[in-house]
Amino acid sequence: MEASITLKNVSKHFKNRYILSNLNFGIEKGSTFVVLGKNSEGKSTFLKLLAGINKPDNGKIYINGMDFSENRKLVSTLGFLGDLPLYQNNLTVGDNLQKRAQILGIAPKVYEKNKKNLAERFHLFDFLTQKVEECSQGIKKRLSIVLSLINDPAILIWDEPLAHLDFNLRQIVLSYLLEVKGEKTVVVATNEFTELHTIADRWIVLHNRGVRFDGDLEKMTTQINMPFLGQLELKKDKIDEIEKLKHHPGISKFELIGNSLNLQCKNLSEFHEIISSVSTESIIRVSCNSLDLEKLLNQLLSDEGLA
Amino acid sequence: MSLVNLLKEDFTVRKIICNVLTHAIISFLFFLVFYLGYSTSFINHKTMDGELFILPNIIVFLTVLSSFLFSLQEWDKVVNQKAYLYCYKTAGIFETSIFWGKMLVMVFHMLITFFVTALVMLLFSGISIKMSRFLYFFLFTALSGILFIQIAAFIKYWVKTRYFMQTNIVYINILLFLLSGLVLPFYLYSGPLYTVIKFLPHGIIFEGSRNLLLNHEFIWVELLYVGILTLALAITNHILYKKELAI
Repeated sequence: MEASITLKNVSKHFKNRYILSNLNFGIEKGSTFVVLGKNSEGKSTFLKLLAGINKPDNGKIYINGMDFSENRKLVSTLGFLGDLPLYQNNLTVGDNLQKRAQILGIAPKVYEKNKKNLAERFHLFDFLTQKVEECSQGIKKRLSIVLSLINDPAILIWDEPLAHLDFNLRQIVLSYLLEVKGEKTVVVATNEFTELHTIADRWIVLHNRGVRFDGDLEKMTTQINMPFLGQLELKKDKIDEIEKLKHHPGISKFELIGNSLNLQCKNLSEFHEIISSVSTESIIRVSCNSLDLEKLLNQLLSDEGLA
Repeated sequence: MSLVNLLKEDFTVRKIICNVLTHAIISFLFFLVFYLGYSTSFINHKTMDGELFILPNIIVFLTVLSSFLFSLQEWDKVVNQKAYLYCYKTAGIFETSIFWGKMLVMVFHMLITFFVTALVMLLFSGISIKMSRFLYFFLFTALSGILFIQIAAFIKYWVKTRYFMQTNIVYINILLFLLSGLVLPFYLYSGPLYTVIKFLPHGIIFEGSRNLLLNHEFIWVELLYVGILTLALAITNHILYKKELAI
């Protein structure tokens, strides 16, 4: 797939401390790309580099094949939602949108059309005449989202888009991201990965100035050494057949209570492999805990992380 | 185009009207206080010597001080409130455009201050100045205003703290203006204070306006001094802020 954004040896430091070092990867056009990482690992800095707010100390960023440092007008194709607001508190929601449109140089007709669509979609219509300082955090967040979309950008760079939103608005944002999937390139830094992982095409996990993991959820589950616990309910007459699994190298814990077998495997793929080797006639029921993404990430960032 | 968008954002009708009204009211209050204090109009006051000298100096003082404060305030926004930078940069307005765009806005603000203050001051005082002298006076005051815009930008680059230091800098500047010939010519001072003030821009600008309007002299030396200092500071600030705004 064609790359929308390409990073070549990109590094950034602040006051003698490297935040990001030698990043090399591409982000495919139309894909949803999620950036994860602990606090202070450089997620926001990474997004600011992509948005043109910060300049890389070394390396190049290419947007649609063009060098961003030489074609800074490319910023008009980006929609940025950052850790600091683009609105002014002493203005109304509507005035902020108009001011943003003016500074972006959007034609009045296009602006009116975009404003109408976005205000409806993100439930902002009733607040257009309200001053931002009188608005709740949720309205401010919605305003920030609409401000980032007012120029209908082809690339969205969003930092924590779901923060401060209630369940209803989270759904609205997620459904918007689903709708533009394949159409717009979306780069999202978040800690709300349990909600976003369903629409993410690719994740990267930033750690120690670099990329600790790059891939999708499937790749992560197969690569990470995280014990996986599953239960099998067996037919009573087939228990003897199951006993032979006791010495399987992939099983770290084998506990048979009655006809119920608790299995702890090295990881999900080992568990999958083991139950595939058992005849389906022996099993009444298989159950397992759903994958805990937080644990998975913590394991990934620990020293024993990758298999 | 990006520079035009930045200027459009700052040159709003509301901001211009606010600026005009503020300086018209301040200037008018000066005459009101004068009249209430002395029970006579400015032009008919017999005991005060050198009215012509005091009045232009007040015009210069208000123009330059207002430019200085506005510049401090605008650069404080950019330096301390990173959201402003985000706003500009994500709209395609980058370091050079931000720097020179802001400078243009400040110069425009200074010109409004000068014309409103001069108009009200001359109108209410009844003092007339020859058009050719007024033009020189305008040029010299405008250049002085730009110099103080640059001085404020230079100070703001090094002193980024917002409250304590910024307030002190404003007080020190007002004190320097008062010591530098706003009311009395500074050559009346003696010793080290005279030497210091002679080379400070604060003293030079009042000395220049006094020589121009009271002594009817051409003020090439003062013009050259203010011009060179302005240019040097503008270049320095351009380099410093380009680095600062690039992050």
